[in-house]
Amino acid sequence: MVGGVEMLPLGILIFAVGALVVLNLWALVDAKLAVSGASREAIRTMSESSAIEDGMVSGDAAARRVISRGCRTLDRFSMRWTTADGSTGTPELTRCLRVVARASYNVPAIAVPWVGALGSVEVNATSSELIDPYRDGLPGVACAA
Amino acid sequence: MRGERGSAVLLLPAGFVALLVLAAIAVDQSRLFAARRQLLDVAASAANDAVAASVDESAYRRGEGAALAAARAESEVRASLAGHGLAGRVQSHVTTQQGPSGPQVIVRLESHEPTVFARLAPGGYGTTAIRVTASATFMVMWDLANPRR
Repeated sequence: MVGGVEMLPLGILIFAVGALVVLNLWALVDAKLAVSGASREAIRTMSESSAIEDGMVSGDAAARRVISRGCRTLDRFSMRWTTADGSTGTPELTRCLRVVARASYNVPAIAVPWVGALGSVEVNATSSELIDPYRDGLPGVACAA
Repeated sequence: MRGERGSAVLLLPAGFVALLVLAAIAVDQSRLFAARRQLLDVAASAANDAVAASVDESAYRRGEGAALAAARAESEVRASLAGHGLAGRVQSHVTTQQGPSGPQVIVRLESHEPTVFARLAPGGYGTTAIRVTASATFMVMWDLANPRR
């Protein structure tokens, strides 16, 4: 027997596990970029909407479009809306209201092809925007007035 | 001349260590690039919010031109940082000035990102400073004080 050939399966195993770890690290980076884009799209859509409930619905939809572009599972994605004071209610959409969108995606901790995913790591991104102080059709006054 | 068959015993671990060091540098640098990119987004968003919120509208409508309230701009940048979940973790410096196209808010942010592997090296560093600058200009599309012009 050629010397060391018995170590070949171990080497292949290490290579396979290493490749999976690297792929999973890249999945985390990719998910971070995706949720950052999703939260930014969501907050832009919200700031252009005419009512907060409509903004939340259309902002959610915009974020989900970004997430689904990369063939990701939408079940793993969630959005959370708050205002500057941290309340999660639905205040009236007024000028100078600060809205905060937090997008989260659960990335499988270990994903093995044909076997499935084990555990999950939550990747988050937060975007915040002030509703335009000079927007037409909204109540409230410009912030510095 | 002696054979070189045993040299792999030395070369393999040395190569592996070099590979690990390069991987560690790659991980740390990628984290820093990602953090810098994120901070730049936050700075741009904060500058945009600050310039919109800090224009003294009543003075502008009196025909005194568009001027920015520096204190208001600073508080708006702080609010934006809090909205992004970065309050207390990022140092901000806000400047208001008259730019070539209108009043301008310049936001400089600085954060200290912890390193993962660089801290483990002899003489390594635990954090790296990231500094970004973004600006936003208040542009008047039409003259509110003289709407017929």
